[in-house]
Amino acid sequence: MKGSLGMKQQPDDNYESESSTNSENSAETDDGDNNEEVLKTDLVLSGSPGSISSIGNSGVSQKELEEENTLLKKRNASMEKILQSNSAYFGKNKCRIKYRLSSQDQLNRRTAVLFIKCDMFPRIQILPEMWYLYSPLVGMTVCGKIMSLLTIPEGYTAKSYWENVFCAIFSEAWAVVRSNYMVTVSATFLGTLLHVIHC
Amino acid sequence: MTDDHGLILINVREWDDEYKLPEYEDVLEFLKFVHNYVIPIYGTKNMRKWIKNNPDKTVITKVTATSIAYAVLVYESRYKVWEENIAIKNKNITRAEMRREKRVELPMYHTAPGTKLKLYEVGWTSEGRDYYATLSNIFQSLKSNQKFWDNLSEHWVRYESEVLKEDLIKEAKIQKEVVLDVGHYDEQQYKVDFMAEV
Repeated sequence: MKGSLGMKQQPDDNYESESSTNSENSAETDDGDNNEEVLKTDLVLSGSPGSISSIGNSGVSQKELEEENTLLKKRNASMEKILQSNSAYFGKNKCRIKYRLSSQDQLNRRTAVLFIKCDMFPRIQILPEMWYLYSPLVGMTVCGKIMSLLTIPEGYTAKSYWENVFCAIFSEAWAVVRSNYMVTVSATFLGTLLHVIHC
Repeated sequence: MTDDHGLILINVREWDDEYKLPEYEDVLEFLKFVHNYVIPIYGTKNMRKWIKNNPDKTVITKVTATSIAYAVLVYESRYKVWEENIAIKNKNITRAEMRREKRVELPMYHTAPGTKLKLYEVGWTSEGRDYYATLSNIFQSLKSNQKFWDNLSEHWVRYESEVLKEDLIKEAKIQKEVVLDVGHYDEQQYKVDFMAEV
């Protein structure tokens, strides 16, 4: 059989196996003359993760693997862009920290915002004075509670992540929730005042 | 709503075990306050969800002492500023003129707007923090009084039904208007003849 439809997908365990054995496997399934065509069609399937194993099996050269790698990197970059563009929080101010966040930070930020809105703000409305200091105590401090909910990205310890990245994110998210409440309340005050005047 | 000293909900705050349980009219102001200023802390959507999940409970059981204390603190701290803002808005001037307008009133327990704060500082003054603590203690002791809080939640049920009634009347009025509007358009104009030959 010719073309990509004729390729049998190899299991992932064979990914690290040597190319010589794989060429034998492919020879069993296909005619020897068609092997080159099959390899060409594999490279077209650059987007799918399944194609990685097939390339590994069929003994493709270093250059082709690099090409594949760049394509995958491009795909990852586009996915990250999509993730960032889907954020509903983007406003006018370009200087804010949320524009400099990685996708993992964005996810963590969303988790924190949800937690602040639903659980934290109804219980604690004024943060304690030294809330920004790192502490690993889960149930006792703001930092401990928030950090227990997050996934810490690779290369960070919990302390460094809190001090360098997430403390600022949390501060901003908290300020947003608090000022939203203030605006709602002031609008309510205006409404009640107008109601009194009209009555 | 406020008294001469700028305080609110005095009759509820100063209620004691020796007094009789309050009537509906006595706590009406408090219930309105909870409806308008405390529920937004939880978010109206979240509150609706909670009510759906707990139909046998009232909002009063959900509301915490600290949230009431915070709402009181914000109201007492800011109501003069809000009044001033409304007075400026009513002058019918442009936005630029509005910004230039002189403002006299400042928040009572919070730093003035435009003040430069230290990194991660919240902005409440130490007086504000103390007042918040005392208020939350007061409301906590009231909440721990089971008789008083049950009485409040009973009154809340009545309040809710009355407010809901008003809303229903409003909705009915709007629906009537919509129906009247709908009657005006020409049905023939939008009629589609399915049997017509193409």
